[in-house]
Amino acid sequence: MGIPKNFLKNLNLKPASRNHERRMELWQEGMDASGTFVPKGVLYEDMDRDFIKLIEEELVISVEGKEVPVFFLTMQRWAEFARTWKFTDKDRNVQMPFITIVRNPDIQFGTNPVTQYTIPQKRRFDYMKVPNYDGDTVGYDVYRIPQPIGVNLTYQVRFFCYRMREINKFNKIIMQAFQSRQKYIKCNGHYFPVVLESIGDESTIDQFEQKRFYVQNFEMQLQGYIMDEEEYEVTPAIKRVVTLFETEPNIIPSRNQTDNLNPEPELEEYNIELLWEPEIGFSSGVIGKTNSFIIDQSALLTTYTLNNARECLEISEGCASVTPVISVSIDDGATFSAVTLPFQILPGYVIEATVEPIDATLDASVTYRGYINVI
Amino acid sequence: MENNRPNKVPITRLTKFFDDIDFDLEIGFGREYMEGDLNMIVVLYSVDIEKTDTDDVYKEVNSQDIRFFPPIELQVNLEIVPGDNQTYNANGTLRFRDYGNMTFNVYQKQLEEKQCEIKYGDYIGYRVKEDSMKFWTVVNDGKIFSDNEHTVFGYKGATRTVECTTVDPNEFEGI
Repeated sequence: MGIPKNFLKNLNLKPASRNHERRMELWQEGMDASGTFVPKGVLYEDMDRDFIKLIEEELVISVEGKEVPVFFLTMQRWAEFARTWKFTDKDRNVQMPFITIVRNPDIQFGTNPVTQYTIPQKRRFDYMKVPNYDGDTVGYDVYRIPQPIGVNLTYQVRFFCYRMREINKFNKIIMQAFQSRQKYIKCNGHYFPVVLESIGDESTIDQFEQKRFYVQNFEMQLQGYIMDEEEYEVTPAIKRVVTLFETEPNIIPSRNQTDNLNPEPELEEYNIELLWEPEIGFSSGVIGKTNSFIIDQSALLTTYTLNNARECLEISEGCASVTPVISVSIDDGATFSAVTLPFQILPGYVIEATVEPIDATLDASVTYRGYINVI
Repeated sequence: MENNRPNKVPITRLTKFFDDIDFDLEIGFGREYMEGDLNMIVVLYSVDIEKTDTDDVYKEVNSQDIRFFPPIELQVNLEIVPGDNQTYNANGTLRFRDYGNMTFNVYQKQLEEKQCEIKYGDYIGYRVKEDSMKFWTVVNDGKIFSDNEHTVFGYKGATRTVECTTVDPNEFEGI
C-alpha cells in the first residue's frame, strides 16, 4: 500500500524559535556561556580554538579508517613537534594525509557590516540591570559594555595527501559545508560567519624527480569581533533604602512647633510689677529704685511697660542715664547685677528696677511681662 | 626508435682490440669490485601491475594493496645525496627532512642473471640501519644505457644508472 499524499514522515515536535523568541534564546545562550549576566568575552584565542574545532569536528575526514589529523601551526618549532610527533613515521616526518591550519598573523578590522565603524570613542551601552541585595539595601547594578570591535581572521587550511581520491573527498566536504559561501561557528555564545574565500592548489606534481604530493589550499576568513571583558563596566544604579524610625507615645512638643497635629499650647503669662513711691525731697530727673520682688516661678521675661516713668534706651541729650534698668540678685538681695531682656528668672531670684519718674509726686511703676516655663 | 630484431647480429666495432670476450672480462672485473668488494645491497620490489587492484578511475592504490613480485637483492654501487630541510607550508611551518634521492649503478648482466627488470615506479629498499629499511621509488629506470658513460669503451652498454626518490610509508612500506 502506497503512502497517501501529504503524509508527514516527521513531526516537528519542538519547532525552532523565531523572531523575538529566537533573539531571547540567543541572549540566554550568551548568558549560559559566561555564567554571568553579561556575554562572555571573545578574544583571538577563542576564535582560533573554535575554528580548529570546526575543522576537526565538523569538517572531519577519514582515510583508510583513520581520522586525518589537523595541525594548527605557529612559529615555535618545538610546539610544532609537540603537535605532530604522534603522527610521524620512524624518520620523524609527519605521515600524509594531514591538514594544516595557519592563521595569517595580520588581523584586520572587520568587514562584517554588523560591526563596522558605527560608534566612536568606545562608548559603553547599558546592557542589563541586575538586581542585587547586600543585606541591607536592594538595588540595581547597571552592566555596560562597549560595541564589539569587528575583526577578520584569515586562515590557510591545507590538505596534504598522495591520492586524488582523498583530495576529492575533502574537497567535497568543504563544498558541502560552504554551499552558502559561509558557515557559522559558535564562539563563547557568539555566532561568527566563516567565509570560504578561495581554493588553491599547491601540489608538487611538477617535481618530477622529487617527492610528490597533493596540496589543496582553502583560504577561509572568520568575520568575528572581539569583546574584552576588561572593558565591561558595572555601575551601581537605583538603591531602595529601608529606613526605620523609633517612636514614643508621649512627646513634649517644642515651643515653635506649629503644625496642625501638635498645636502650640497656650502660654501662661507671668507679670511682675515693681512700684516706686514718691519720697520727700525727691525731684524729677532723679533715678529711684523700686521695691524688690522675690520670684516664685520659673519664667522668661521678655517685655516691659512703664507707668509714669521715662524710657531712655540710651544716653543722649535729655537722657542722662539708661532707664529702666532691671537688676537681679541670686543671693537673697545681697548683691544685684543689671540684666537685659529677655531674661530667664528662676524661683528664689530677687528682682528690682531703677526708674526715673516723670512726675515725682506720683507713683511710678514698671511691669515686666513674660511666660512661665519649665527648665 | 630501437628496432628489436629476432635474429642477433654480432657487434663488430673495436674488433681489432676489443670483442665480446674482452667485454665480459671487463664486466667480470667490475662486478667483482661492485658485487664482491662493495657488496652494497638494495632490494628491488617490482610492482606486479596485473595483480595490483587499482582504483577504477585514478588507478591509485593504498600502500597495503600494492602487489609486487618476490623482492630481489641487487648488489649495486649507490649514492644517497643529503635530503633537503624543507617545510610543507610556504610560511615555514611543518618542517620535514627526508632522505635525499638515491642513485645506484647496477650491471645489466646481474639483472639478466636474476631475471628481473627495474621499471619506472618500482620500489627500492635500502637497509639504513640494522632494524630499519628505507624505501625509494624509481624515477629513472636507466633503461637507455648505450651512452658513453654506461658502455665499456663504447662497445656495449654494461651498467644502468637508476635514480630514485623517497616514498612515504603511506605510499609504500614493504612487507
